[in-house]
Amino acid sequence: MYVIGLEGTAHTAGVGIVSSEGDVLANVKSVYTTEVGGFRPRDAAAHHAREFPGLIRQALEVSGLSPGDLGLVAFSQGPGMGPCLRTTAVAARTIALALRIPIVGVNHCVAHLEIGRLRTGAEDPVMLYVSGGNTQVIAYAAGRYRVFGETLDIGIGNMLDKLAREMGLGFPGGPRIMEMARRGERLLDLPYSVKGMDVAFSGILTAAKAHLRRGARPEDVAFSVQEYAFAMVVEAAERAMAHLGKEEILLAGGVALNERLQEMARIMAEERGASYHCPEPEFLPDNGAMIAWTGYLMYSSGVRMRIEDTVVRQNFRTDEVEVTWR
Amino acid sequence: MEVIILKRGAESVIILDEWEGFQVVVKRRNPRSYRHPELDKRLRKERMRREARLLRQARASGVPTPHVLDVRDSDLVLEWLPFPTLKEVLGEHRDWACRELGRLVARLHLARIVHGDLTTSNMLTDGKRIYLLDFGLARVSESAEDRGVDLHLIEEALKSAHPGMEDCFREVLEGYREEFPEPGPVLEKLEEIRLRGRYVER
Ligand SMILES: Nc1ncnc2c1ncn2[C@@H]1O[C@H](COP(=O)(O)OP(=O)(O)O)[C@@H](O)[C@H]1O
Ligand SMILES: [Mg+2]
Repeated sequence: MYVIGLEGTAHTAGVGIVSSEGDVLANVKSVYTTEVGGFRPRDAAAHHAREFPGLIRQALEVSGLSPGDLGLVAFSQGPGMGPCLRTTAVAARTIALALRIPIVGVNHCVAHLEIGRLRTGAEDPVMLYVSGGNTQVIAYAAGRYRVFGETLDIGIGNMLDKLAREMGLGFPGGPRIMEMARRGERLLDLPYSVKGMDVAFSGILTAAKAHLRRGARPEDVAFSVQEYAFAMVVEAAERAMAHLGKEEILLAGGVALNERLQEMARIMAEERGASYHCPEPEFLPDNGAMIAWTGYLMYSSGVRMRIEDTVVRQNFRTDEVEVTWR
Repeated sequence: MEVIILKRGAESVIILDEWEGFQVVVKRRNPRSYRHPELDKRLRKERMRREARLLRQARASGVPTPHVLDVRDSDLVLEWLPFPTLKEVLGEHRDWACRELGRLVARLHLARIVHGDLTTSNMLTDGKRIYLLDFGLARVSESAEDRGVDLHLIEEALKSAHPGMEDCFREVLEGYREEFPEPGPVLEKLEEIRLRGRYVER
């Protein structure tokens, strides 16, 4: 069976095609970015509406399949921005009706975890999921994926973006901060905020801005922010591993592309005698393949949805999904 | 002498030891080499000192905690409480333990302490009392926000480590209300924290 998956919860419109054996045949995307100002969900949704038809065609081309080969369509049902989710759902419903194939709505956070398991072979990991809007520590317990820790204020990626804007580095901020941080030397004082398995970042942002105002080297600020923020999330994940007795860490989300974060997570795992897992770069940020694969897992374990069941869920919680496939 | 490791905690090892002829435990924070060495050193020292101080203060305010016997370098020497964690035995004690936990946390908050890591692995019970451990992330604070976070931590810990015991948290809140005068602002913050953080737009 071949499954097509549509991702569109925020910036990224992604289309992936996977087989029931877990082969990824296509994984293409288009990312909506703004140079100035904040993220406007409506504009992103318009971007997705424009891009999906072409992306779907492209994914079919890359995979060498024709539309008639597809047996299932999956889409990101939530959580995310309403306008983006609705656009994505419309595209998926259109495919389902046109090809007369079943449709399933997928939880975006669960999909990050499942594609990570597929690509790395991790079995029962604690997932550290770090992206623009999301910062969560998720693991499996009693039939569900549950959020053990998360940010109490802003997402780690948003914090890095805001800092980058403050430094005049442009968007997306993460990669540019990483570049700068390489040339940092001095560790500046910042608040280290871990509360149990939860973290908070707005204090770091405020303190970093104050350092800049007082004339600190931007390189040192970028370096220090990374050292603090990444140590915090890795500690949160480590606490979850200790609490749950789990021995695998899995990285997910766009911020996990950062090599310093990867290094910290790997050292943490080594020191605990645990194993470190990080999928290939294309599977870290939002992507269509993760939706397709999770849709397949759901469908093959008996989940069925009617078109009426595919209304989007902006606040779709990870632990609302009954994990029927494990 | 051979070292007996009793437990590996979230950030330390707990070693069974002898001190002046008594059985004690030593809580040793090992370095974390994923952290910048300066940051790591600073954090371990801060947490050790703070933990010793706040364990003592909590005890003085009527919250059961182990006695602090000594603080040396990066080691904390504590009275050994040979009991299971609440994580292991909450099921057997749910009829009294949930409400009692709420009362203890209220008492802690009244003493201007927030715990910062209220999972059931950080609680021991002898079947009559609950002992709070692990004040490594505890702080002095009187803010409704910090207190709300403490309650939220319990709620999350119960939900995730004890599925099916949702009613336990209701009991925790009952106990908290019993002991904490005017809990309104804290409970409002709790509500706010629950809604926040799931998906944050820029
Ligand atoms: N005084 C004590 N008596 C008995 N057991 C203890 C004592 N202190 C800690 N423990 C055990 O060790 C575990 C870890 O201790 P904790 O202080 O929570 O360390 P960490 O900060 O590393 O989590 C606890 O869950 C508990 O089982
Ligand atoms: Mg502990």
